[in-house]
Amino acid sequence: MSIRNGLLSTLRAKGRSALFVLLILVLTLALTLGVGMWGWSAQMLARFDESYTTVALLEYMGQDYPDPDAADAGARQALAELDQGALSAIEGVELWEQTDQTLAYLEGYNRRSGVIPYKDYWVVLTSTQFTGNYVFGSLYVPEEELPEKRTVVNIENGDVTVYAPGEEPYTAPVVFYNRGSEDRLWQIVRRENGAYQRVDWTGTVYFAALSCPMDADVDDVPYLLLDFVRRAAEESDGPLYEYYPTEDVHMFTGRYLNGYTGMIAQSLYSYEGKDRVIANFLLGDTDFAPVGGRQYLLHGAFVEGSGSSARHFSVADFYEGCETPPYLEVSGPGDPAFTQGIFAEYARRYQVANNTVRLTASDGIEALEAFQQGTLYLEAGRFPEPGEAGVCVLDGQAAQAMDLGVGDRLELGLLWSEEDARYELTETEEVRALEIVGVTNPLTDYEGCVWVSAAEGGFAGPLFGYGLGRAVLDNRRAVQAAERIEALLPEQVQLTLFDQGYAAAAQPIETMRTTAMAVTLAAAAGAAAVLLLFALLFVGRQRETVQILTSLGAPAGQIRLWLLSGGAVIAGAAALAGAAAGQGLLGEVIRRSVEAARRLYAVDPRYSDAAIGLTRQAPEAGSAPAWCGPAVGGIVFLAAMGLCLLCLRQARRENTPRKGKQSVRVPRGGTSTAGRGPVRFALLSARRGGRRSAVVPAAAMALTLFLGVLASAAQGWSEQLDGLYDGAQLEGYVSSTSGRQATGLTVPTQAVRTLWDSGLLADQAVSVGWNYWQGKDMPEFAETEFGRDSRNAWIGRQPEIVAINRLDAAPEFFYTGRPEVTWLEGWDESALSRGDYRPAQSMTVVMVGSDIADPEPPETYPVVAGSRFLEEQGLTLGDELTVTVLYPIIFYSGGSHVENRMELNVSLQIVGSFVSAGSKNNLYVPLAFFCDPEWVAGEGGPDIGDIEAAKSLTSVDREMVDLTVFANTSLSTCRFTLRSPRDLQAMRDYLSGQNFSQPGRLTRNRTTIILQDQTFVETVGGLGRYISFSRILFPVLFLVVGLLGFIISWLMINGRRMEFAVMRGLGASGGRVFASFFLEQGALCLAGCLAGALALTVIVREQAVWLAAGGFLLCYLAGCMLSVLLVGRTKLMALLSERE
Amino acid sequence: MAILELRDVRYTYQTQYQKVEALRGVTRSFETGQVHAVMGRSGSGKTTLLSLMAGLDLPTGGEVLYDGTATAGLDLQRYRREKAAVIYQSFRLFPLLTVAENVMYPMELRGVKPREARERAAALVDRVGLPAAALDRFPTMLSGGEQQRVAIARALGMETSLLLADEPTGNLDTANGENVLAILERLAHESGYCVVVVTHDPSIGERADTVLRLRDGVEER
Repeated sequence: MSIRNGLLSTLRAKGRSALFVLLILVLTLALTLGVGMWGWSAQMLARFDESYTTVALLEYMGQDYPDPDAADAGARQALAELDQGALSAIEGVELWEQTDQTLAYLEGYNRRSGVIPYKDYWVVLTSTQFTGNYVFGSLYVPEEELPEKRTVVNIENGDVTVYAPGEEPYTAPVVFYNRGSEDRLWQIVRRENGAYQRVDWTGTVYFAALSCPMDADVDDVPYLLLDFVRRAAEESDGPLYEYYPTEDVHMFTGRYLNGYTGMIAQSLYSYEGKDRVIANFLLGDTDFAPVGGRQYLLHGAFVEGSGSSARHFSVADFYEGCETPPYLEVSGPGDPAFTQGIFAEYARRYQVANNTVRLTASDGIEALEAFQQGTLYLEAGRFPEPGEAGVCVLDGQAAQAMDLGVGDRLELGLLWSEEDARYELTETEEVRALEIVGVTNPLTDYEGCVWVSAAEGGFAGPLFGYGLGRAVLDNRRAVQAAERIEALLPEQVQLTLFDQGYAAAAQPIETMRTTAMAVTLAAAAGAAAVLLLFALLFVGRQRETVQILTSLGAPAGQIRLWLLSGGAVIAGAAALAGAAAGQGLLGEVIRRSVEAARRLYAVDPRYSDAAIGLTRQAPEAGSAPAWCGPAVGGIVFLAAMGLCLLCLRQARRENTPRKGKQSVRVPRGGTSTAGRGPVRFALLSARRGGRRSAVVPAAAMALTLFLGVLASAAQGWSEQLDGLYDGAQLEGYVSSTSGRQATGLTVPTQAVRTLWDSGLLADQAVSVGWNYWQGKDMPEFAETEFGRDSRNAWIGRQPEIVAINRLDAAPEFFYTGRPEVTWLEGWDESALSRGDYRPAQSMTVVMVGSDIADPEPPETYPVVAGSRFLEEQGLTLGDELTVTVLYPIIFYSGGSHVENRMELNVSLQIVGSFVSAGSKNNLYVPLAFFCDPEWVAGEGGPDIGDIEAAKSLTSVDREMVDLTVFANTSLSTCRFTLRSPRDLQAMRDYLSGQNFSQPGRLTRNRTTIILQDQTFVETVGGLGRYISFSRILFPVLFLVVGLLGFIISWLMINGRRMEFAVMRGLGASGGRVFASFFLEQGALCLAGCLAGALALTVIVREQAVWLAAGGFLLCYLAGCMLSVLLVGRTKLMALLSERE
Repeated sequence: MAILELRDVRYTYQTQYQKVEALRGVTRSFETGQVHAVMGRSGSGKTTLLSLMAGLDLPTGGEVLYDGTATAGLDLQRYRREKAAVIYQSFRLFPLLTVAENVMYPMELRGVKPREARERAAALVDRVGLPAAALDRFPTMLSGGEQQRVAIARALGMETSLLLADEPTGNLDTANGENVLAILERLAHESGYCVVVVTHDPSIGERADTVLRLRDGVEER
């Protein structure tokens, strides 16, 4: 009965019951969704954490980056300067490891790919079969080597001179034989004054023929055909030589001994391990001429095969200062030279160096770059545990080559590298015996790699390459940790963060988690307030009911049941409905929230530096947690019941008068006579209102501050965004396919022009270099094939003269930025981009008719050099010097062009110097040395496709030369700056339209472009998200706050209906009554709004703050006005009869 | 002299559920210099009748005449401000105005300057037997009887001869009730006020000069 009556009395208060059912339902729903989303997103983030690994690579950006075998003093210095202890201690750094790597020798292992330093170095035993190898060609012959008996043809005038021992040289002019003309059958001509003249000759002649068209005049004949002369020479004594008077050079054209062909009987060491192979041995400086019937152990220059597929093997130490000749006569395979001596040493050296494995130690092998980037993975077995000794992981290629697998054992002999040369190796006594616990996928680039735990590491020896180490970071704190690490880095050390796409995948989920947390907390607070109010109203305020039941003698238990039953039904039904609805909707809400969050964080990754590296697929989304609804519903219900029980006490408490003396309240200053009319009442009421008066300005101030902060934040974000766009500078560059390297590339000039033609670039900087040397520095090289090869190899090792229009485009400065340059007075970096220098290409040699156009004399180019170079050369600013440059040149002949290289002497004047950092003494000259800078970043230049026009070149024409050369050569680096960050999307679209490649995504246009936009996009994206949020959220919040103001004013007025009624009852006019309350409330609210706005203006100085304050004031006054008007419309009798 | 006259006064109002005829034709005159009691059980219409006499509303039928003029023809605001002084059962004092300021309020409504009003208020407060110290106190600091005296002082400040009291002793104990009643009697008999008291207290009815008994909205005969 009590339960029934309790239910009836509760449910008959329909409005109140319905309101609380709705409130509790909505709040339970919100709580369920909030908790559910929170739990789901926390679960997803934990899964992400397990699936992703974030590493930070520290690399030194040296001159030869990213060569893994470079011995760079700068990199070693940077490693020594790095505070590794502090780095390890940074929050978020889970593991820091310095690069711990060495080379090791694995007996029986033959490398077939990757780094093979002495691939072309053999030590072989030749057989007894040697035959002379003759080739037909032109050979320069020094005058002193000309035989006494010879025939010499003067190329210029055609005279033939016969030399014979003991006889005077006999010279005869050329005989002209016109095949097509009967009346000019035989004529004798000699070239005089640039033309062929007929001469009378009665002496002995040697036949020559001028090749010419039918009926052509002899003056038109361009070539001298010497066939007849040669045949005549062969029939006479002595070989035939051509003499070039201008160069004073004799050339032999014919068959001559080039080397010897022999059989490789045995290889002491050769990369291919070839025996019984026919090989050609070129003549070297030592005039090696093997004798038939003997066997030789050889280490030197020789050729396998012939023609275009011939492989040439170069000679090393034996020829450069080594006293041992490149051959040794041996008695046979049993000769001690095979086991002892220098040949055996070198064979072993090459074998060891060529067949090294790269041994790397780490306690986080799966977080090493190759594995972290997904390039390598385990095909079998496992990784060594941290600190686990005696085990290793072997690469798949090596495992296949040696038929090894998991469980097999191998022994590695550690090698010691020379300080400056990675592959100058010494075998040590240290051996690592390891069991293979894992095998990777076979990959050519990683052939011969072994990984061990740090327990097997600690390799001695200097650092090679540019990788200083890597840190494994906590995924969630990676960005902050990376920032702290960057603060510790020495100069030129770069940090690259690889997170496998964690941030992009996790950010939306993290946002969901934060939002869900906020929703949960807000809903929980709301639920607490509502449940408290619910308990108060439905139980606490039922004192009358309690009194009645008590007076009727109802036991306490019955009273409790009466009071709680209604509340239990309402709270229970609402909580159940809310929980059920929330659980039912949770999956869909999660799905949509994920979509919305991902849309919010979506960025265009095309060409971005953020896209470098592997991006893992995010783990599959889990299902919505099933426990949320029941848990939340239960908690809400229990909380409601708990609060009702607490309030039950209040309901049963009897009224007791307050004991003790009450202090008499007297206003300060006593009765006031200040003011008149409604103003007087408003002031007195406001002043004496105590808490009632304080609430309004306090609320107004708080809400104004809140609105003001929102408004100023929104305005601030917009301004910040504009500022970002206006102030940011976005750069890009051409890179390697992986996106990691920007120097030492082959950048087609066409690509550079295409980039500029986008119209979206503010500037573009390129560099291209060629080896240079000074004549005094070049050693002597023999005029032999080998000598020429050696010379070319020496030139290839020389520093470069680099044509450049901006210093930071140079490979040397690409990663470190412009160096500090000391300039000669009147000079600055703008000299590099000036176009008023004649390009070296203008020295192109053009063959016109039978004349060779003399190359124009070179002008003096300004050059920027390193301090070390100046010191070594004893030079200073303003000095001049001459260097020789191996420069690409184009020959034009009969409508076609041929590219070649020519040694040009270039005059330079030193106009700037910088502190040398790299190992090479590169010199920097204006880009105009190579081409018109307008080609790269300017308005001018003819269409690069107009190569056909260049083919008809008959004279030196700078523009056309520029055109042709620029179209056909390549550059080393290219970097550019966008005109405006607002063009970023347009640039992406343009690059995409032009089919440029992206890191890891090759297209037909294999030039890969990187836009350095990650930081900018993240910042802009962040601001953009805030702005998007604010556009949705802020109007709602403004509305809510305005509504709050409206409600507060309403409540303030309505709570004083009695005063209102008394005023009206005493005969005060409606206007006076209205003004009394309106002025009071208006003044209180205005005070609060002003205080809030002023306080905020001191901090943010935004107009929006005042707008927010004004808006809130308006809402408050509107509520006030409406409330007063509505109260005013109530009948006075009804008002006066209301209970206070 | 009859200052207030009721002629077949009727009052009907609509509640959420029904139409209520609170008064169904009351006719009566009220003279100055007398205490008139209006008595009846709860719901008899006595408070409604007082409200109509106070000018809080107009009758839906009949007339209420003040000094011969129907209230329907008067500016009710002015009438309430200048002619009909009302005292309520629950005092109805402004909680944030001092005793003096409460008493001054009606005077200020009539344009009296605050300083002058204060002086008059002091005299009125003294007249109703309150100490001068009470002038600067908030009403909530006074006892019920004292508050009711303040209400009477405020009513006197209107300088009218019609004083309407709705259960003036309803919230007071016997002693205070007796004091208030004594004041009202003196105002009627000594100062010539027409004092109309709505009450259900029979003892007040016995002391009144006239009694109007209402039952179901009409005079009980």
